[in-house]
Amino acid sequence: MLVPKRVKWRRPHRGTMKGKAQRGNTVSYGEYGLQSLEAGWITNRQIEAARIAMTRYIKRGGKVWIKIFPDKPVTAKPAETRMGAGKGSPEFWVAVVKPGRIMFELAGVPEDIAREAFRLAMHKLPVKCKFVKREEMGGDANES
Amino acid sequence: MKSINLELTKRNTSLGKGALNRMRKEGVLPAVVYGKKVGTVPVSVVKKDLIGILNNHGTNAILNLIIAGKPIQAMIKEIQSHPVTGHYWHVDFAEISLDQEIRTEVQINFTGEPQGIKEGGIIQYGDTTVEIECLPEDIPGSFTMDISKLKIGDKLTVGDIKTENNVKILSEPEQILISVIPPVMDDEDEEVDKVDETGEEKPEVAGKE
Repeated sequence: MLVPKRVKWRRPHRGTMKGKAQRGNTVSYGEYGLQSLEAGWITNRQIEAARIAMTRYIKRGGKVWIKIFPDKPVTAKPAETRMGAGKGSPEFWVAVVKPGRIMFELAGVPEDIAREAFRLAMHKLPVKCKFVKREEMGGDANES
Repeated sequence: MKSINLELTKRNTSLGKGALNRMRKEGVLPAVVYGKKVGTVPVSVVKKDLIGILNNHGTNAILNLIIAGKPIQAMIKEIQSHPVTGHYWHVDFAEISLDQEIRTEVQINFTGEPQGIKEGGIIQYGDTTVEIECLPEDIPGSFTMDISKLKIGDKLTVGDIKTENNVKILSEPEQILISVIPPVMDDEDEEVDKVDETGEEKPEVAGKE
């Protein structure tokens, strides 16, 4: 599972998820992408589950790019613990995702297979997503 | 390259975000024109006209902007679009002089299907634009590259682009534009799965808690 090798702080603040993805919002390596429509935390387990769902479906011939990385530790206190006594211990890792972010990319498979692979992956993720194609980026360009 | 007329109207900058969003809903985009002679002029442009120009002439067309009856020669410097919907949000027009070289980005189009794809390879895209410097009239609409001869492991870089003498490419020649990578084998994936099941690694902490 994806985990950072080295972190500066073990227990960071939770932070806010304002605004939209200003970077990482285009399909850059592959032909198809899975774009987030909401802001949320994606855990390393969810990323792994989505990746496995996609790779098992496309079998061989395709390539998957994971464009998010869970670099934020999330802490939790043990069950039935009284409040106080300091912050809890890191439990899992998340990637902060904002609307517009391309989370996964796919290449080397026909469009219908890519759509189905991403549909399976969407079920593993806690945010609403959309299938995007390389040429579809910049919607107005296709309007005439 | 032809010059195309585009009518713009001056915009009141004190209206704020709400007024701009209403304007966008009506099919008018906020824009700005800037340059040495003209200074900075906030304007608005009819979205339909802009899309027509982009579809027919591309992003590097020389425009004859008409603001309050005065013509200004300019080019599109930047188009901002919405990160989710992709709809155009704001346009920057930069004033140009036809006898002065400018820097701009030109789109690269790929034609043909690589040989490597038939052997099971996968296309991996790199940069799809390249930065050039030349006179505004010499700017090519796009560069077209034939990728039909690419085998697995082959790649095309900026150095492979053939240009005319008056167009200077500023991007690094080693920059990869497209490559054909070998297919991902099933066993590679299984190996990754096995590593994952072996438990979580704990990252090293650099700072104090």
